[in-house]
This record gives sequence, C-alpha cells and structure tokens, in this order.
Amino acid sequence: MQRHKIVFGGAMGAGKSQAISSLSEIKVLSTEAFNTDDAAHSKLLTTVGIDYGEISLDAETRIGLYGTPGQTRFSFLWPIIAKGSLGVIILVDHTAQNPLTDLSIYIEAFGKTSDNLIIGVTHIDQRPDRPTSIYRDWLHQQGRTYPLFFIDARQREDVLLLIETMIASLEAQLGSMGS
Amino acid sequence: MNAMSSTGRRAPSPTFIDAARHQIRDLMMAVPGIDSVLLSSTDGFELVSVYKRSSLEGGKMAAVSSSILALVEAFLGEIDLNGCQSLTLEAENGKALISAIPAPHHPMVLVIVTSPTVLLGHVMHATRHTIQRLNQLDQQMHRH
Repeated sequence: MQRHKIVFGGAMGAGKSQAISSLSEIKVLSTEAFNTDDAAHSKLLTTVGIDYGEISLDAETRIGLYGTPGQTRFSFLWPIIAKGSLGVIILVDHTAQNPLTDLSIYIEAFGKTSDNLIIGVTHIDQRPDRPTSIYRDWLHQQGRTYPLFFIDARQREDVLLLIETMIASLEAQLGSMGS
Repeated sequence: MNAMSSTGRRAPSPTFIDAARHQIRDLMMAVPGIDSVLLSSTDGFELVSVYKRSSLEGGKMAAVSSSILALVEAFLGEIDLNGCQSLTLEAENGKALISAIPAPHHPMVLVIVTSPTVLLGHVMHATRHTIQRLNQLDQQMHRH
C-alpha cells in the first residue's frame, strides 16, 4: 500500500474544508474555531490547525488529504503541513475582494515547498459579472503554467478531478525524468 | 481575508477587554514567577497581552497557541478524551501553560509563560481562578 499526502491551501472561505469533506472516506479530523473576524468572512467556524481526511484511489494507493488554515497569521503552519506532500491544491474564492492577490499569496507561499501546484477556483456562480478568464490571463502574464480548474468544492467529482490531475502530473514528470 | 486584527461584531467588547486585562494583572500579581500572559480568541487573534519581557510577539503567539490547542483537542478527541482544559510545556528556561476558556459567547485561549522555578501547582491554581472570572465576565456582559 502506497500512502501519499496532498495539501489544500488558499484563503479562508475558499472551500478547503468542504473539499476534504466531499472527498474523504473517513470522518474528517477538523480543528475549527469560532470565527470572530466576520469582517473578513461571514462563516461561523474557521480552521485554525489542520483538516485531515483520506481517500483510496485504488487498492494500492491511499491519499491523506491535509487542509491548512487560510489566514496569513497561520502561515507558520503552511510549510510544516506541506512538507513531504505530493503537491498543493490552491483554492481561490472567485467572490473574494481580490482573488488574484490571494492567488499570488498562496502560490508564493506554497511554491517554496512544492513544485506541484494545482489551482481550483470556487464560488464561480456567485460572481457571474467577474470573468473567469482573469486567472488564465494572470498566470500567463506571470509565466506560470499551473493546471487551472473551476470547481464546486461540494461536488466530489470536481475535487477528485484535482487529485487525479495532480497524480497524472506527477506521473508525467516522473516519466519525462525517466526517458 | 488575512486581516491582522479582529474587528468584527463577534469579537469581545472593549469593556470585556478592559475587565480581562484587570484579571490578568491580578493573576500576575498573585504569582510572581509569571513573565507573560496572553489572552486570545480561539481563532488566533490577540485580545490582551501583558509582558514583562518585551521580545514576545502577541499576534504570532495568539495564532500559534490557538493552533496548538485546536490540534491537541483534535488529537484527544481521536483517543476519546474530551474537554481539553490545558496543556503544560516545560523548556530549559521556562514553562508555558496553554488553557482553553470555554466561555459560551467568546471562547478564548489563555497563554501563561513563567520562569523555570515557578511552582506549577501555584500557577495552575491561580489560572483556574482567572479562567472562572473570565468565564463569568463573558456571561455577565452578555446579560446586559
């Protein structure tokens, strides 16, 4: 049995805990606290430690799903959690005041510990006036080529697509190294 | 996102913060070996800090201690131990006590840093009293 670790990063409210909950085959271990900063986000609870869930991709591969707290005051935890992971899925809340700034913050932070980043943009339906092309355009301007998806973190298939893409991306990297 | 201070209406009132500061000063008077005390929200915002050593960063301490307490609570839950009240950390040059304050309206975290020679039982006894007072204040201020 191979056991791997995939980390979810991104701003508070982007859907990290939801994504892990949607995917996990075990009861998710969560470290949520009462959110006193309702100026930043209206949700009642926020992760302050880690979320942990698990999923089996096949009989031989089990993935540990690790969620991080989104607020930058918890950034001390990000490299600790991301260490030894296959890669990091960065979720971006499309309704955030400045989602590209958020994306920049988390790419910068998690890029230090992982080359394998995947971006999932959430809450697309809640800001139909904001074009989704801003992410592709921004990545192009930055000269970055991370896989980019628009997902609903409540939908298991959407989140699973991110995981499978990460695995496929790693296999492709390993394949190119071997050839 | 990423606000560095808690400004929302869910944060404790300035009146509560003032009263809590008094309680913390009383605690430090009662136990001479206490170097620093920090009161924070469970989501990692500094509410009150009183330091004898100025080198400590309250914002960072608040975030780290709230994470540690939440992680320990999660761990204890996995081994069927519920209601984590406190944890004690002993280092070469001092001790730290991280306590949960399960106040119904504003759950909080209390961090106490002491000298290495302080009597832990003394600190824990005094801390328990402070936590009771903070709990009472939380409930009183929500009745008015």
